[in-house]
Amino acid sequence: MTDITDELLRVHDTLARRENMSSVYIAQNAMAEKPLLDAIAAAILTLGGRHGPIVMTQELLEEPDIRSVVQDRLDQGLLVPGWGSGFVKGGPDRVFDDLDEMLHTDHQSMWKKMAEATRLMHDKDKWVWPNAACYTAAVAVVTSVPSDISPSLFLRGRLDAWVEIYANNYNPRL
Amino acid sequence: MMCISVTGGKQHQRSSVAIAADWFAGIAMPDSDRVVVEVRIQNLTDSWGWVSEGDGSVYLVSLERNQGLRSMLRTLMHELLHVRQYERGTWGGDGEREAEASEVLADAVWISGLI
Repeated sequence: MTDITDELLRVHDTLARRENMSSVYIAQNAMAEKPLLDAIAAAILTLGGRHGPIVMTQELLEEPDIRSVVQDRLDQGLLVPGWGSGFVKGGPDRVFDDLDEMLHTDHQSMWKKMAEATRLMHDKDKWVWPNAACYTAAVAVVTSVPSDISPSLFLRGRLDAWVEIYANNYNPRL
Repeated sequence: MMCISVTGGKQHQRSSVAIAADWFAGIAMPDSDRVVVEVRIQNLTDSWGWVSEGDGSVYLVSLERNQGLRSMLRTLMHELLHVRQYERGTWGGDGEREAEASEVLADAVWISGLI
């Protein structure tokens, strides 16, 4: 049986092969003939803010009353960290299906928090679903990884794909 | 509301499928008291699921047991949409529209917290 952390890492590997900001930075740095570690550093520096707000999302998921926090953010016209995708609109991203099922089966209280927040947003006509930051934060919470460490889950899952992307785009002529 | 029975599979599959089918019946076929749907969760050789029409308004829905729960719910919704089409005499096409609608329905019941 797949461990939930293993499944999260598998999902990140899949996501890293899409044209998201961090993977694009890897490719662009490789094309500019920057060293691999520079490219990885550039990719890491894309994280945070609206791109992969894992720490913010984990803090949200650790709130005892997520409903009121989400409601407050919506009332203020703010986005909710951990929800919404630039790749899949109008429904959940199927890449998270197995992970979501694992949370549903083995970590019901966390799954219910995520579902409650999602329903609240849908009730407000915001048709967004949990994204990679949300699932990363959720797995961190249920596996007792603190929020100052949890972004490492993102890195662990994406690193192999990043190295491949770099190698595929690195063709030095200088 | 239509009468639904679920057999086969594992306990959590049976209970989830029963809840989802009831939910579907409530929102999509509320006035179908005479419709009977028997769902069997079993090993299928070449598909995730199918539906066959029996006598009168009796339908047999078969679902492949070796699929994830969310996939199973999408398959269930797909087949129940066909039941609805049979009942309304609107069955036709290539199933693409049903596929899209079944995803929306399956996601809605999944996130509802009922399961």
